[in-house]
Amino acid sequence: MSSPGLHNLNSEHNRGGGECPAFETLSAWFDRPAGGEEDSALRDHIDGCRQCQSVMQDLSILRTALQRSTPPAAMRSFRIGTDTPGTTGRPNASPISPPIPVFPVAAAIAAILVIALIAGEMLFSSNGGDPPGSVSGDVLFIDGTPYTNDGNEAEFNAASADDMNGLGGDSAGSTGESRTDGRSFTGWRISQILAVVLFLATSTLWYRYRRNEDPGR
Amino acid sequence: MFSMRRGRRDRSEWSPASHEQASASIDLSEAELIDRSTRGDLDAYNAIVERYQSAVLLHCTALLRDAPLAEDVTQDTFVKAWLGLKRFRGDSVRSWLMRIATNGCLDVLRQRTRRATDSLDAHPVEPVAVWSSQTKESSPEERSEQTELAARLETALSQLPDEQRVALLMSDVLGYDYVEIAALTDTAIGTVKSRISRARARLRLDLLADADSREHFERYGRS
Repeated sequence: MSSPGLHNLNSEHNRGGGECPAFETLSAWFDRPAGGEEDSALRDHIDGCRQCQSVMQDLSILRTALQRSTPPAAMRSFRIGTDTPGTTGRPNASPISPPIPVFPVAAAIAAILVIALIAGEMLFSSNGGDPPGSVSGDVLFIDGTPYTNDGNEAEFNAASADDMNGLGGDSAGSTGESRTDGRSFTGWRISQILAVVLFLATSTLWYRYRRNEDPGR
Repeated sequence: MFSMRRGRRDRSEWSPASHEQASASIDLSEAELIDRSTRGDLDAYNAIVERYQSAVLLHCTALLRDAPLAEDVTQDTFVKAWLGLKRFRGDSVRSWLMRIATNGCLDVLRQRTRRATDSLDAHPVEPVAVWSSQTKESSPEERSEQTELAARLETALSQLPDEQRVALLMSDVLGYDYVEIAALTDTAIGTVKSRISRARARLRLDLLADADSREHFERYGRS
């Protein structure tokens, strides 16, 4: 038997003219609504093609077998009562209280945080890559002026123009705060990660919450 | 919205005489029942349950091919619908319930697939065939053959991806058209068409590949 997806035929079997349609086309033809608009070219082909007719017959056999093999449904009542598991949240004959929109609010806050953090990151990147008060290598930016640490931790000297070559980064984003340990930058990263995690968690919970609330979605 | 294309199955509503109160409510319009239900009237809601329970059960049974499991999902459907009633937007109760039921069936099928995949000591389970066609007139040989064919069909069906199987059963057993299946499964019509076609191609290859097997199934269809 030929592949069920494609079946090119020899002319002996194909008196319908033209190449046989793909299996998907025949399958859709088999499901065409009764009385619907018909593709006359396709109909003519199938009428004259033994192999396409064989496919149609196979589809008919499969449909009959599937229908006959479906187990019988044992009818019983599915009425629900206040004692039905899962219905405790809806007491009988009482107004429905709207759910507290915890997840939407949390998700919105997290989304705003993420957007703010990403925007901040992009802003600093476009200005040279250093967030406020950060230290890049051994260079400290204070009010736009680069300083280097020449071995003495407590004392910074103004960097010469030569020292700055290749170290990158102007200080447009500096705030004037003087920090030397880069803790602020680490905190920035942690905040970003936390915000993303919070956003993903709340989004997931929100989806599940909505799904439970509106199971038909 | 949803109507049976070929009316293959008896979809008449089932209403046991024991629920007189519900029967009284059933005369109310659907909109009124929904309105009352939304305000917490469980009797009104149970009238809706009475109206659609047989259709939902048939739907779940056809998709899951497991009567006890179908009963569980049917019950779950009505509980979920009750809990989510305020989100009902007033189009068709039937299609809304069928969507919940379809989602429930797909969830069950996915869980079953995941459990089978996750289980380290999982052995392939031979699907139990529930062949409803065996007539009293069938000879023992015929019954034996039908049982064998049923087992082969169930095995072939169980090897299809869940989405393909559900789309095929919704089309061939429940008689929904592509538009209805797309709406119930929240997919594009083209996807539905493709899933059904792939499922049929696979079943055809598995079950009707050789002439002997084809003849058996053909005879079964006529019997």
